[in-house]
Amino acid sequence: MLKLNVGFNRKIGEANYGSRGASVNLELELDSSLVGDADRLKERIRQLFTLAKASVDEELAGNVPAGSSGASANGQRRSSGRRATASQARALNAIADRQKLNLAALLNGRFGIDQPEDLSITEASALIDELKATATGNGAAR
Amino acid sequence: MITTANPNQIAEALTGRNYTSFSAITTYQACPLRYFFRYVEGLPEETVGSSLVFGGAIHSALEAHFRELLTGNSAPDLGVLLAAYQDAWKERDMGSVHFGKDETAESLGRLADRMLRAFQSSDLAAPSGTILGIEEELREALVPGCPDLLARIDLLIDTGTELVVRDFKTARSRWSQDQANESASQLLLYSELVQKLDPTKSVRLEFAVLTKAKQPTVDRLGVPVDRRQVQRIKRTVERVWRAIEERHFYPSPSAMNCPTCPFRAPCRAWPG
Repeated sequence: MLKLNVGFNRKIGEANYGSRGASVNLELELDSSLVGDADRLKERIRQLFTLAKASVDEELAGNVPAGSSGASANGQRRSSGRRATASQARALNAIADRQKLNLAALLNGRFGIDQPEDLSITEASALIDELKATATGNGAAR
Repeated sequence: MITTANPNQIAEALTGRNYTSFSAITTYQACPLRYFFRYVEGLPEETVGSSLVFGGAIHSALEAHFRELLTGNSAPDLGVLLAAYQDAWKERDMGSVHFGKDETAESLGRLADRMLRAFQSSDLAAPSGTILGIEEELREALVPGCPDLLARIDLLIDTGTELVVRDFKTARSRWSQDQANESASQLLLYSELVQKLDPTKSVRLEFAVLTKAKQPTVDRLGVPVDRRQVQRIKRTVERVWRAIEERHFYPSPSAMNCPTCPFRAPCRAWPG
């Protein structure tokens, strides 16, 4: 008996640096005689990939969350949104160090997260701008 | 039991890295055996060209500049940039650096001074828009059947309507638009990775070329995002990866590449 595992995943981008993904993994037991018939085995693998791919595409096409604007409520973490870039996360840590700011507390209070890497790109950009403005006396963080 | 490994697993088993890069792909295209020595065997490189080290050190200086801007500081002065440049050189074993004729670490240091001054006085030093990434690594499964592609983007800026990908180059002379277009494969491929960050914004690709001259110039050359060209590059990557996966490694002698290849000795010893 052969065991065949086939997986397919796809992620699609959305507005405001958002994305959605879906994955399907199939496991199937096959007759071990297929080992000696490469063409038939490949054909079975192709069939499974086609099935997995079609299922993922169907899921992504028919499962669009309504009104997913990505707006975040104070203290609540939204689920979608591309993660902040490593550069943004580093910048936020550097600014917080410079301003002697408890970044973890700020992130937790406002976004319900502990580290800047969990912000979205948009959130990270806005927070960087806000903290920069605070430093120059043109805004208020916290 | 037969299990179909995914491409990342195949890449990891072959090279120790569960991804590939455009640089790895072009290395294979230039010489499959060189790819084998570098990525499969992991042989240390006996020598490295000074221009490669110099370009990397200039990148380090530019990185220091943009990091300061991103954190809200004013642009650093020349001394900070030159310190970043020198630090990058210190990471190298100087004995392994292959210098060109009439070239020394000191003469390159003076050149870096001139080039960084030219950069500081150019509009490239004060990009308009929000900096999203500096030497930013993006990774995505871009090509079906291939491992994730890891990209390192010199500078990524959000102008509000566009995502600008800027690639800094050091060159002996100014680039023509044709030269920029011909060198754009990597940027074009990266455009797909960046587009996924926000599909509602268009992606703009640019080379920023600093010349290694007595009076350095700083030019910005845009490259059109040609989707057909992107697809062509992706298909090429797919085919190259298939060859790598099937371990088609062989030498590709070249009068241009062999003299500077760091693997000349293992290449000569390779039994075939």
